[in-house]
Amino acid sequence: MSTQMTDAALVGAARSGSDTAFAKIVDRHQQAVRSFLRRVCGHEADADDLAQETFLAAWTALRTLDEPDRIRSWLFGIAWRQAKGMARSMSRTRRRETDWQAERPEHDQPGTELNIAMQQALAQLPADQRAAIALCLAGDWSHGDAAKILEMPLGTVKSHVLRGRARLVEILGVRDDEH
Amino acid sequence: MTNTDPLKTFFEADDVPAADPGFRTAVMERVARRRLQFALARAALAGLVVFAILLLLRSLILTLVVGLSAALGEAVLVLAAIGLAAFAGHFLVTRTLPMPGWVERLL
Repeated sequence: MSTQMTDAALVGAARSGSDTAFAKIVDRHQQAVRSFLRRVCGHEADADDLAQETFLAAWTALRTLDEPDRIRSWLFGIAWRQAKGMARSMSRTRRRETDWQAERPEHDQPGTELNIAMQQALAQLPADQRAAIALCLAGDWSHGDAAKILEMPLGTVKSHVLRGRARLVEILGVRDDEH
Repeated sequence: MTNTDPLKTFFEADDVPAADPGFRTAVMERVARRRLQFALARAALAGLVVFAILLLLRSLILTLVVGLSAALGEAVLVLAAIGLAAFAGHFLVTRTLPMPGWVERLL
């Protein structure tokens, strides 16, 4: 029986040049990182490309990671910066984010009705709100962790989650018993 | 938020597969390419440094090469003369080469 290596052990091995260890890091965190980026970007192919860039940047900067056991939040921080960079490059071409999303096919692969409804609802929120929602509601991160990942004040994150949630409930037409 | 959050159902439907070998392969290919780029950049930098050092030491290297070639030229001449004398002595002593009659009489 093989024992499950901790994140810190995998980071240590990857820093020593083990590709196998880094591949395990990718396997372990790809789902969370890609889901986050898909919710932030709203486009699967772009999100997956950004996720690959995120892991590549992580591999390059692995030696700068201070707390190897907190690699997931570090990866999310990189992913968020990559997503913001992409949004900036889109704005440099003088195209608004909504235009950019409208020009793309809604989905590369067929999705469920719930999936499509959520993608469309998220697309109506500002990027910062989408990121806060993706972390705190979809990803189960605490507001404090989300504030660190997104490099935003705690109050801003709480406000984004509250407003974004209310907007999603309204768009999706779900019954909200929490408020 | 609790698991009874009505939005949770929507988010769960939106999740990426837990295992995706294709994605891992794509990342590792990019890692391999990046590693090759780093190796090439390091090699190019090392080559540039060596070239710069040789350029800085050009006059010193030229002096050394010219001086050495002159000194070695004399040494090669001496060594050639000694070698020739040694071969001639060897042939004379061992009689492995036919000698002219007057040489034979002298010996």
